[in-house]
Amino acid sequence: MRFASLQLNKQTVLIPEQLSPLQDPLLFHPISHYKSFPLQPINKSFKTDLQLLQVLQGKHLLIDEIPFPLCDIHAHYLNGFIHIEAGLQLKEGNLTCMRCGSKQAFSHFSCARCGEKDCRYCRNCIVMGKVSSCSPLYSASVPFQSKQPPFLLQWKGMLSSGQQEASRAVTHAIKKNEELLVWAVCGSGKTEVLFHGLEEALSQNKTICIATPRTDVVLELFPRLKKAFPSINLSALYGGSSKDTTQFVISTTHQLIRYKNFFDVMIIDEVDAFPYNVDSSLQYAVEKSRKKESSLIYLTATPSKTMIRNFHPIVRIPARFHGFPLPIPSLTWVGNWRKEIKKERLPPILIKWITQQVGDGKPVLLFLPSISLIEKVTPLMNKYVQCESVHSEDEDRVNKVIRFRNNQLPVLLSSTILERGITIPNVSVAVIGAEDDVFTESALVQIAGRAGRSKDFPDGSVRFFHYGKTNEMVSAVRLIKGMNREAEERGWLN
Amino acid sequence: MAQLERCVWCKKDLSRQLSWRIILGLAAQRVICETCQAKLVPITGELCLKCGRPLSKLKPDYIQDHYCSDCIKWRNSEFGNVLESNKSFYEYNDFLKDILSLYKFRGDVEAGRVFSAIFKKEILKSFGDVDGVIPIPSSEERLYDRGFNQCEVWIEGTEFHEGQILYRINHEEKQSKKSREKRINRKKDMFQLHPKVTIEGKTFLLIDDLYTTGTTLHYAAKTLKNAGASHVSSLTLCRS
Repeated sequence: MRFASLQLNKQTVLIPEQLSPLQDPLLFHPISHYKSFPLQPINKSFKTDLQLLQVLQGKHLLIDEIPFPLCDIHAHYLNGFIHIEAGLQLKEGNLTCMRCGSKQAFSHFSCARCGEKDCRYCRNCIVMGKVSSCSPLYSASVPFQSKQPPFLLQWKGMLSSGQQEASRAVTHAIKKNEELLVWAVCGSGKTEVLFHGLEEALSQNKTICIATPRTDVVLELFPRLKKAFPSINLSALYGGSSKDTTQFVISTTHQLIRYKNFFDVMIIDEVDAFPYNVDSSLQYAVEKSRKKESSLIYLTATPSKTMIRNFHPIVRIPARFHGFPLPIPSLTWVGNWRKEIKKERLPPILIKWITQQVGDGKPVLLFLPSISLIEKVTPLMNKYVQCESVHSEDEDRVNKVIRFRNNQLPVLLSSTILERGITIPNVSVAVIGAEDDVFTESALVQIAGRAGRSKDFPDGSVRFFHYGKTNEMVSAVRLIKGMNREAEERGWLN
Repeated sequence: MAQLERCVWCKKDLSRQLSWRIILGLAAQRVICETCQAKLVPITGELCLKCGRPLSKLKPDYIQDHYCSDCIKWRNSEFGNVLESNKSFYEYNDFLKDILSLYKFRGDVEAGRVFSAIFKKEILKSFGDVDGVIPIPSSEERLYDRGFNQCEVWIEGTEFHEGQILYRINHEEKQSKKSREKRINRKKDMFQLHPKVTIEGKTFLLIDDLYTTGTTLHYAAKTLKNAGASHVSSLTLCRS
């Protein structure tokens, strides 16, 4: 869109070409031509459209994402209720996408909207709509006012001692708008640790976001939180589901790109998970979407070394909620298994272990380094036991996992896609080719964390089958043992 | 920090795929990776002499003397031979559909610009002597919505990229949302000529993204022929 800049009542005001009485085309420029975007003074007598403000609440949207006529949107801008800024701006000399924070993934095109031959646009966030040199970004400038119904935390469970300690730290951070890293071992019950803090935040009418890099985690958390806070209007945001903002949202980190300066409480679950750990624009989105004065709480079982070094305070839950120690992986050398697979054979030790587990009635979850290996191993494995495979590009993934969960499928082969968030009672877990680069310390700790989660079957078998021990394998085992020792010392084991 | 060269489509790192031909300067630097390249299926084999579709994919009943039955229908209609012939580069498979959707609907011009090279090469090779290359125009409304014309991008920077000759008359429902019946049997003209251009005796090449029934191209060709053009053929990215 093209805008002209005018002085109205000593204020600089941007007027879109479509709504302007001015005829001179030389007055109009793509919005990125302008350098500052002052907020207009609020006109209290202006009759606002609450539905429009609701759509924009806490958001940072393109014109195509706002289902209201431009003249209405512009009227709210003139009266101080909506802020506009250029989607692409120069920041410290670098062209920057203000929505996703990217500074490098730009391309250009000859634009029919603004008439510029070299209109730039951001490729980094293009799947969420196109931010170009002539795209304004709109946000509501008046803070969220919600009348919450009286609510009660409906969760009646008990916290373990480790959970209680973390829960107090979370509540404190939320009250004081501070940062906190909750380092909780797999199966320690980290979601429950949030409940009292969330209750505190809601009682102060704070806006809350629980964000995670993964859609499946959003889908898993939503019903649990809905159950705990049934009277709260909760929304789940993930690819394809875009809803109006509520006071409490559970969102993928991707969707936060559409938010700005909104949340009082930002909780990031699985903070070390792909792609949040490698995609700086997701980290930008988290920073942009929360208020300057807000709490930031990270949850993970496997924080990175940098995070452990740089982040304070950290609260640790070394024990599982059921009070049994974490299963320790055993490392088993299987020789050159890749060569065996080329010859269409599987290492006998592996087969022996699997058939034994299946014979004992335990579901077996096997992790492999790559999709191509999974495709080779599945038919070989099927000669011995009934098995199927899942990976990131598998459309039938959800169904297969359900069948595995329901004991309709004894063995499931997986890429690292299932390393987090899957809970199968009594499962035995193994990695084939644990020496591969994809199996980092944290991946191995997460995989081992699949076993023994249920209190009825607290000791599961975990095997790392390998062709040469790696540092990652050794330190994963050391970390797990260390957590068990700490839990023991604190008296948190049964 | 040095920028990684990434595949324009899947964003995979390309540096591992530097072939000797690229290092020795015999081939251009890749913009898409080998995996993506392999998903594009070029149209080959025996083709319909008019529309360029592979005859091997048709039942024998639908082939007559090296022409497909659709083209024979066009020839016997009021359109006759307004469109001399068509060539399409690729089969319209799911992969190309996704790329085109990223390009046209998301507006990622860079993703579509990948095809400029093949268009430019083919125009130089087989159509160097035409008087004009015409990307099928979008309606004004569509042009504003998308911000660009997907076919025009492909000939940007060539000598053929010049003033507009054809205009789309009115914006109706999208072609892709109509039934085949409706698409072939439309009555009104889709295009009109720019009032100030004369094209008497000139030859033209039309550019479009997809040849499905050929309706759009036949209408455009008819408008040009009625205005005196001597020769109209077409080149499209894909053929469904």
